Amino acid sequence: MEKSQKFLYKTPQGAEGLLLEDAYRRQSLTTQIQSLFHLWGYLPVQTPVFDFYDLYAPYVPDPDKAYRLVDREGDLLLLRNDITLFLARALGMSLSEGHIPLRVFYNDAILRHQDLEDISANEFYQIGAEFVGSAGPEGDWEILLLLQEVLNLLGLEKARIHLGSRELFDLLIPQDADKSGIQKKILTRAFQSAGLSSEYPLGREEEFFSFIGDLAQAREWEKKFSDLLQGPVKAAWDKLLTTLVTLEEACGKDHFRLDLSEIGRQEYYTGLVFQAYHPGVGDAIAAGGRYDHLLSRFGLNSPSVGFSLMLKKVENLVDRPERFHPPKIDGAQGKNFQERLQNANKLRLAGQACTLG
Amino acid sequence: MKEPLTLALPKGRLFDQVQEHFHCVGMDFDFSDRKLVAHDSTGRLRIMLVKNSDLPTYVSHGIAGLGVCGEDVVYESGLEFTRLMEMPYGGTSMCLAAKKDRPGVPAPGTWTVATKFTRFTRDWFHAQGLPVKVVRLDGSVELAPVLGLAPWIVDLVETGSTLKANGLEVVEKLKDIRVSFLANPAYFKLYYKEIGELVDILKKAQGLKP
Repeated sequence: MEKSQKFLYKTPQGAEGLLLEDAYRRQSLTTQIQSLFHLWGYLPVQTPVFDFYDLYAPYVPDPDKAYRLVDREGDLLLLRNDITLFLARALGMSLSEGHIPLRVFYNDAILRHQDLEDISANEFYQIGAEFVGSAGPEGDWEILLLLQEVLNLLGLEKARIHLGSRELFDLLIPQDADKSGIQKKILTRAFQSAGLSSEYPLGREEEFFSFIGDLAQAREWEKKFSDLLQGPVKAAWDKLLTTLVTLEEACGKDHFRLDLSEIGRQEYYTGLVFQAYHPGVGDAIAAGGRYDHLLSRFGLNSPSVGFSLMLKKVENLVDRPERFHPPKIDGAQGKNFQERLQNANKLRLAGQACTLG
Repeated sequence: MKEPLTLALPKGRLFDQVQEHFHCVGMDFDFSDRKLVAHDSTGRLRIMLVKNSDLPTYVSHGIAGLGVCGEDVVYESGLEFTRLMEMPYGGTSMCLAAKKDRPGVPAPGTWTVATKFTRFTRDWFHAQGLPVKVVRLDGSVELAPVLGLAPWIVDLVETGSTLKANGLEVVEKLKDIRVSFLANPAYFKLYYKEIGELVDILKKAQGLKP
């Protein structure tokens, strides 16, 4: 087999293109979500596809899953693996405190390596929004309400947004502890499994993070763990509950849940963290949170909060999918090219798509 | 009526024990006539029967939200799951074994081990600070020392009778392997109440505190 033939029917693991109706649907979804972002006062930004790896190294917890390459000068580069990180660098370099508050949105691909058996792509398409310069809880609420609006737009009524707090985690788990190990234990909830306790010993602080429930259940949890909920920990807890109350007042009780096992997949989070889930999808469809110190690493001392939606995970779930199908396209009528061109121009002026025959 | 929870069960030796466990709490199901999908008698579960080694993949992608699986298979998959409870059956041991008349422990750098459990074996030896050459086999691992492919094997051992029949013996027990009832983490978050009820029912059958 010739070398070119060898690669003709083979694609790198995780690579994929989008064609025709699928590409139209992706663009249509993106356009409608972007229109919503505009209505909320957000402006577009674009981040570079690659940047120097060393800038981001502290925030790349699993370098094996990042795509890295060496440029002609011998510097190590990182392909965009997290839009929030690349955005923080772009904003930190370009903006001053006079520019904030600033509301931005993006839609871009990120690249992360997945294991061979993973059927999902390595190239993820994210669309999201960031509220830069938002210090108080109102910024958290705005971002969460905007995410809920996006889910409403897509008709994802069964989606649920789980709210947690990285601040609580950082306050209760000592700085010198193995935080990623503890995070894993909390995620796997191993302490609930009889007999596993010797392998996965969890302290009382860690058990505290097993809670998922509504406001009434959270009040009971508060009593059970009153010894932990003191001083700044209590303040962070109250802040989280206030967020839930505010969101329930705005959207009703079905959309949001308190979930202390949400502690953020990235270490740069500092406060509220959240993920959205939908039946039929094996992972979170959206994620986000507050990161008050990340931009300062890149020169702009500004608190921020944002979210990103994994569009690929939800494009097959949208309600009334015909909204995102391409319209039927007819050819313009006419005896010759000139006539068909004239008729096509008339149809297009009336807003109807057509070909030249 | 609520949507049933989805559960993947492994074909093979574990299936009968899981079926009996669920029968004890009034949740019966069968896969006669070569069916691969069935509902339990209470309507609480939609159950699919899959190959043991494929089970983590099905649960990880949310095709089934829940699964019953040995820790050995979960470890080899490298995937993360929410652990709901340990099942009171199916336990076994991951062991290092070799011929009874083997030479002594090799100097570092010369361990050659045949196994189905390549990830576990590599991780275990590396955790001891020992370099290891792993030879992957898919079955009848006991043959490797007998035929001279590798002097050492890492495999699951229940009674040790297969080892004995081939002139091998356990050199060291590396890990107790248990059977876990587990969930896709995202699925758990969506259905935590229903899953919690199911776990309580199954724990009662074991006489455990819900």
